[in-house]
Amino acid sequence: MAPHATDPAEYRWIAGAKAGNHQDFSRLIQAYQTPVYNLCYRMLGQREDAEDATQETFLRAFTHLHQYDANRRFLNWILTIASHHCIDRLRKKQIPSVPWEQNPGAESVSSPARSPEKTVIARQQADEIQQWMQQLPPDYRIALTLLYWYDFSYEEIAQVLQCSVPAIKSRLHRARKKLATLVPPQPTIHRTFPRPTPSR
Amino acid sequence: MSNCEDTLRQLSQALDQNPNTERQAHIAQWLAHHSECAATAQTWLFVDDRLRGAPLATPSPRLADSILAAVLRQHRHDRRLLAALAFVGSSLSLVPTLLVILLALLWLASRVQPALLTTCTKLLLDLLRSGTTVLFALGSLSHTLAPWTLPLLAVGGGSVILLLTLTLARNTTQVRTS
Repeated sequence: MAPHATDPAEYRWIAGAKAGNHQDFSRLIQAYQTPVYNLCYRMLGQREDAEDATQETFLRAFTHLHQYDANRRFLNWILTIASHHCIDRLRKKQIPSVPWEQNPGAESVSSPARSPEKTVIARQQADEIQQWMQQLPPDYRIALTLLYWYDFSYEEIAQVLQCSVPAIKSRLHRARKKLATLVPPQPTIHRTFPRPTPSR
Repeated sequence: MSNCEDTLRQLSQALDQNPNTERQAHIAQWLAHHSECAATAQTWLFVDDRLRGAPLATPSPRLADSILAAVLRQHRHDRRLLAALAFVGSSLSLVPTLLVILLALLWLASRVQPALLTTCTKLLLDLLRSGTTVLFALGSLSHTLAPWTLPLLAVGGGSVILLLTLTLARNTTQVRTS
């Protein structure tokens, strides 16, 4: 995953990019393209739209790099840009939720280490997750994405979405309620409470 | 915990952040006695499991290159805009200077060649006459139009120029040079 703000190399890249060094900005792109793309993909649901939004996010980041506050994690800053852009895009263009059958295998889940059966199962599960996500309102979708894929705390999500912590708690609660209506009833699983979040 | 809604709210927060064991036990105990709510809670746990296990979606390998190409295009565009603005700005600031230099040269030339002054004065008078003719034409136009049309057009034109100047100035501050 992307380096943290404490990473001295990242500081150098940011300083270099601010001074107009394209090599340094290229390194930032390499480091952050996957998290930014993942957020755009979870929000927009289509590969082409997600790539387009990722490109736009980096363009905006490049133009406004002088406004970046070094006390903040670069990941949080760029995800703020990406999330605002995706929400704007959804609002302006009224992108409809794409039926998943029209966008098969859009999420890359294959891995050389996986057996074909496991890859198929992983793809099915990934498709299923994306189907659920696409049926949520954008505000719920973004909160869930930041929680589950980026392990953001309430405070960090609130900072990115520029709202209060109670509002985020409430949004996540409502998102889960909505998801529960989309998922068929499950047989009892032997799990009582959340396990520690695996690092991605 | 009084009802299912409260319990699910607590469960939601427990799923967001690892809760303390006491609270876990409390929720589990309550759910053990409320099967309908427990079924909903199981669905929540199932969804939570799936979401936690979901990998990051990865972009195509060519994305980074296309982003960098777009950034370079943008940078080149910004630099061209900056150069154009600098050219227009410096040209505008040069106009009064050139005018002063021209008048000084004219004055010097007229000292050496007095006939030149007469020619230049004639030229200037012709220019003034042309200007007066244009003004008269506009004046007659104001008779056909409402009397406030020309001042209104002047104000509108001035506002547009001011807006353009402000927009260009704002863009200039955003343009970063390497």
